Amino acid sequence: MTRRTLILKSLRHHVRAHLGTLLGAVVASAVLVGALVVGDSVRFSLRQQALNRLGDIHLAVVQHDRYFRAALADELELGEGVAVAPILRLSASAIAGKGESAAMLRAPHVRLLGVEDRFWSIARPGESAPKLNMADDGDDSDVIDVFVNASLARRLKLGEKDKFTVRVAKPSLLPRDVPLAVEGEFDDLVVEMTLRVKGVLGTRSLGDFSLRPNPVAPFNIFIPLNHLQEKAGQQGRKKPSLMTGLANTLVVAAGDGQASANLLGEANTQLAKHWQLEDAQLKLQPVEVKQGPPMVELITDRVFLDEHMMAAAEAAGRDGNGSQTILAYMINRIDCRDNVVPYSIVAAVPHIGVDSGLASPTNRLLQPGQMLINQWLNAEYLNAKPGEEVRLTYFKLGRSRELEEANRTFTVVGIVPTEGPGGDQGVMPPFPGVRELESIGEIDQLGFRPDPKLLRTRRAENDDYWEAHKGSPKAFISKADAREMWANRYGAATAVRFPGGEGALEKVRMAFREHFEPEHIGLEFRDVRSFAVEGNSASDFGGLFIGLSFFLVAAALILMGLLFVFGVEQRAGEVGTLLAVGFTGRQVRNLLLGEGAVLAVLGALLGALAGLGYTRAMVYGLSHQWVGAIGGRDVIEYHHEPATVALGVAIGIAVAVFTIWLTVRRLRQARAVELLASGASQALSAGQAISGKRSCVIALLCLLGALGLSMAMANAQGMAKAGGFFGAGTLLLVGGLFLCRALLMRLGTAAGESFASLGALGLRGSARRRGRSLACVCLLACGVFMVIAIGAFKINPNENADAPESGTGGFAFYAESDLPVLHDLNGEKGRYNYPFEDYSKPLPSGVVQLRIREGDDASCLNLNQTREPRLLGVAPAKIKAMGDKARFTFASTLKVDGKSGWDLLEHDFGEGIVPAVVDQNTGMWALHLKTGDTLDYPSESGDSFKLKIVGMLAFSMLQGDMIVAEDALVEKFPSNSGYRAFLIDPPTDGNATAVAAVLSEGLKNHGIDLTPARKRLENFSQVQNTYITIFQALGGLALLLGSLGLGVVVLRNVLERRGELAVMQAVGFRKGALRWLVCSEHGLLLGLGLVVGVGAALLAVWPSLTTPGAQMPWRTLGWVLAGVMVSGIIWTWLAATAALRGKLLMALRSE
Amino acid sequence: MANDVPLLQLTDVSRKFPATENGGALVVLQGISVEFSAGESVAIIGPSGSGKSTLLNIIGTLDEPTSGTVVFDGQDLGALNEDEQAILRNREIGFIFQSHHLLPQCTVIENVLVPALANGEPTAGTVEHARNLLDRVGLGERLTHRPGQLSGGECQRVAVVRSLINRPKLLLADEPTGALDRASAENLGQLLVELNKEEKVTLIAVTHSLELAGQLGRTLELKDGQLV
Repeated sequence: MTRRTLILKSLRHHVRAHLGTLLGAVVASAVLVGALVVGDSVRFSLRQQALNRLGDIHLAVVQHDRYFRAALADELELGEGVAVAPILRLSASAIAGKGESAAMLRAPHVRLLGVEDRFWSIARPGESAPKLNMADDGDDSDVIDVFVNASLARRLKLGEKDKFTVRVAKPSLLPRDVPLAVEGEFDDLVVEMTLRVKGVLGTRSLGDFSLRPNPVAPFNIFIPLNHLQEKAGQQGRKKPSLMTGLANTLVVAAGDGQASANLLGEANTQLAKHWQLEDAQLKLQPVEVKQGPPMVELITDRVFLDEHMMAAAEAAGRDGNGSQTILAYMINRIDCRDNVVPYSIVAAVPHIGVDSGLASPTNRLLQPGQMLINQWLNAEYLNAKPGEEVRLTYFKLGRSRELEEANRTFTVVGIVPTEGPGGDQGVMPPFPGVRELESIGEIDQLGFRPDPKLLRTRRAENDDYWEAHKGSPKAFISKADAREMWANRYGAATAVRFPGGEGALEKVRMAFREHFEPEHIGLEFRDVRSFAVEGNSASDFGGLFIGLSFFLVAAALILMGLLFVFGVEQRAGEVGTLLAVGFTGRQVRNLLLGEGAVLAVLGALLGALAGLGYTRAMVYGLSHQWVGAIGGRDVIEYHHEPATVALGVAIGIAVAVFTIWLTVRRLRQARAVELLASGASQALSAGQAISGKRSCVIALLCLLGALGLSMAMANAQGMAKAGGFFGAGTLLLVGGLFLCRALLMRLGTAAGESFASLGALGLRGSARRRGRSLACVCLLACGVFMVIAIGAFKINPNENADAPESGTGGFAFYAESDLPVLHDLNGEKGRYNYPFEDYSKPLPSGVVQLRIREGDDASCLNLNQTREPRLLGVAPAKIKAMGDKARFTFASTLKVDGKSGWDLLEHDFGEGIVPAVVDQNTGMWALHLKTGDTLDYPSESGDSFKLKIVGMLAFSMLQGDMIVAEDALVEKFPSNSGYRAFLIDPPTDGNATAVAAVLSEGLKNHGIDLTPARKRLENFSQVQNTYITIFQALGGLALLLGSLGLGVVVLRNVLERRGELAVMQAVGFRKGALRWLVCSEHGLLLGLGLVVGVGAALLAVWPSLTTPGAQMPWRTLGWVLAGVMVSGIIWTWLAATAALRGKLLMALRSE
Repeated sequence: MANDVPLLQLTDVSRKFPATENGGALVVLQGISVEFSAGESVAIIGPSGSGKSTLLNIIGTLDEPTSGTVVFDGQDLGALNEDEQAILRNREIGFIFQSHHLLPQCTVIENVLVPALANGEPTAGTVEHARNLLDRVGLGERLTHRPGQLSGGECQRVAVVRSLINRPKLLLADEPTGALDRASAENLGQLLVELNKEEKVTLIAVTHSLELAGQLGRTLELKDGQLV
């Protein structure tokens, strides 16, 4: 005989009493294990998705609006088993089907991936690369064989050999926002291709290839790289394709065990070793000069050399024989007195030194305001003499292609030879195609829209000049003036020249490469795998589901505790005996705790098994019933890690043992005498620690606290208000429970002359075991409180959705286009460039245009953790208000210098800090940021800057993105061109369909995809609402357990009092009356629980009820409460019936 | 009186219960002073509510006097903390109650050994002692029976053996025959007297039974909380 055997024998003997305890432990453990395994399943699924979209790919170079040589992939030596593949990645929209547009199927946001053998060796290792041909379609167009992925095939209903069309944004070496970049005509912007499906590429063959995490499979088309280069970059039949030999993505793949530990370092070292100036779209070439020393120049296809390039070039010059930074610009007109010269090149070609080997039109440095004019201009045109004033009129480069004219006046300080030293034709900015023009009049062919009247001004003389001197500058100004007028987000130089001569080209090339870091143009490998395959989710789903299941776990534990303590109470005599024979209270407690621990362990183990089933149910629910929470079907699949199950079991054991410890801890104070006395199990019940009076005082303090807090928070905003009222509700709940306690004590000690009714006798009975009764009230009240309080956070997206302060911002539509819109659609000039039926007719409603900097989807629909969310750039003035009403509602905002919300987007927070507004859900759950926090973000030049959250929008349709000022976005991402997101106001006539039709027509070639704002908001609301539904479902289950607990308490109470009830029967009560007595006793507890819970919850959710879009789901809540009420009554009735069954009077004899 | 130095000495012991809402404090014992020698057997008799059980509980450290002292074997019981009292109960005092309070989940011998568990695991000597005692009370053949398989008298005999397992100096019996029929009560009374002599244990029994009281060496009578 040992203590262990005593424990085991007790367990066996009291097995029936312990079954309830065991069941409670099983439920608690099952829910805990289940919740944790949901986390496992999400992690596993995200990891699987990452592996599906990446295959063996570890690293990638991803360039936005820039291109490098595809041949760079051949030059990188990364060892055996490591493959490097170039990809040309272009945006497109796809259309399948013929005939009426209604019969046509469209797929927006399609990724056209130009790939070649090396990609196929990664995607389908061991298989030969597929043969994808381009053939004449018979009607003077080519058809190209491609592979599509399953999701695109599904969307467009494509099968093998089916043909379909894609419209691809034509790549431009020059940012589209730069004037003179090709624009306007649809054919200049978009190339249409006919494709034929060779096959559908499965998930295992990288069909869903993507470098960004997204819950939804992308629409991918795999096309031969050379065909895409040829088609997408076509400039006309005679000219070679702009894209020949170019790519914008490089991926590095290695099979299992073949990637070296430092693959990233090695790859970047190789990249630094092998990159060429062409990969940065730079050209180093000899300058063709008629006079002066030989020189070489560094220019770029992108026209302007950015700051990093200029710095590296100037450093290369310092290493050698010097350098000369040139900034040339096309100006609209030169005015002197009544003479006007249209469309000319003016440049800053600074004097470096007489023996520098670099030519300059003058041997001295020009001062600001000074100008040199060439002889042609002087002799043929202006007849300006030194000292005379000349005005230059030019376009300033603005945010987009909307050009704003500016002018500045200069004083002529000298006349220099036409096309003299430093004034050669090469000084002209390298706008694509300009040098090939035969006359300046043809400039409109390049997309530049000259003023026709101005262009005609002395046209013949200008054409003669062009023929003789092309674009050699007609005037020269100081470097300072030039920078001030023409420096822009793309750069502040159009060329850097170096002294020429033998070997100069190579010397400069080497020096430049030494000083220029390719990561400044995004030419840098990044690890795309490690983070992705860890399966990091935006939220800890294990924790989230523990949170959602919290009340269910608590209910199971309370029920378990109640059942265990009932078991112990039944054994009061046994406990008393042990105490009497010399066991200390602690020893007895430990014996019972030992029994409890065995039950907890057994329960946790059984619960683990049940938990795995519970997880499967959850995963099924998330994939079907609650699909709104995770953004798509089959996003997650079931998976469990043994370690997680073990952790769940351990936690299950710990919480169960802790609960049992709570119930038996007071045994230390138990007195043997009382326990041994007949029917003295009350000795184990909770002591009367707090008197009735004190309970009243505490209740009163809580109620006053709740009232005070509500009043104080009545005028607060956002989370402060919500938190304040939730606190007030909780205080009310606690106060209510203390009030219940006082009431029960009052009932328990009431000593009247007689009972008014049988019910009154019943009420008195409910106060006999205050501990149990209060546990029931507490369980029910807390459950009702949680279910109602959380339920109020359900959002009705349609509620007040037209109001500017709602989540739609008062907009009617949200739209995105595949191709950037380069003009302001609100203006006639802007609309002129698009196929609107009548561009001169104003749009039926206003459009706010936003730039998009691609990034991760940080909305709640994406389970993946995001590090680089997508950015939206908007002019704050355009989005902040609708008339005199503010758009959207800020849940929180910083306040700086009297500014807040949208106004802070343009506030200067210091160098390298960009203010941003983000939707609260995105900020809190996806990015884990709060107002005032910052997020490091890489700029286009490879530098990092900080996005500072200056405000968070209450539930809005702008979830998933960070919103910054447009100016800040183009400053950090100069290559970003045009607008791809649109917020569309409701039309004044209310005809939203007409607006949609007009915009769809005007932007049909841009792949516009319009979504009603309400619909978009509804999609986002589904996430929150679905989680709340899950919580309510689990909460409802918990309430069911709570009402079951009530039934158990009833059963226990009645069984304990069978003798007493038998006496009542003996004196003439019928069984039905006794049942009514028992039910009325416990009905009070049920009623108290519901009243306290509902009252407290309504106070807690008061701010939500007054928030736009939020609405109390009265009907659902009514059902929940009715369910609890009915369930409670049923359990009570069943328990009373069961306990009163049989011959009650027998109990008298056994007394 | 066997020895000059008493085993147990109560001096001016009183026990009051706090006032209730409907009345004043309840005085159960008042100024009890009495001594008990080692090895003697004493019966405490008196009407219901006279404080007999309370007195026994105070002696057995299951209750504490409101005033007065109880000295057992030279130790002032009021100076002991809860754990020390439990140890004292376990080693020096044996209890027999009106109801046997055997653990239904344990066999006869296991029930007897339960007090030994408070000090760890029972030794072989203790187990042997248990067997001998059970043999002595005529239950040698019922060692592995459970309480549910025994008669009331047998259960009470097991309870007696349980009380003696740790060789206590003092055996306290609270109405030990109260729940038994006449024959069983007589047998148990006889057994207690014999064990008192054989085990040299001081026996104090609270009883309504004048027959049992007559079998013991001394009889004390309590009335209204005072010895008369």
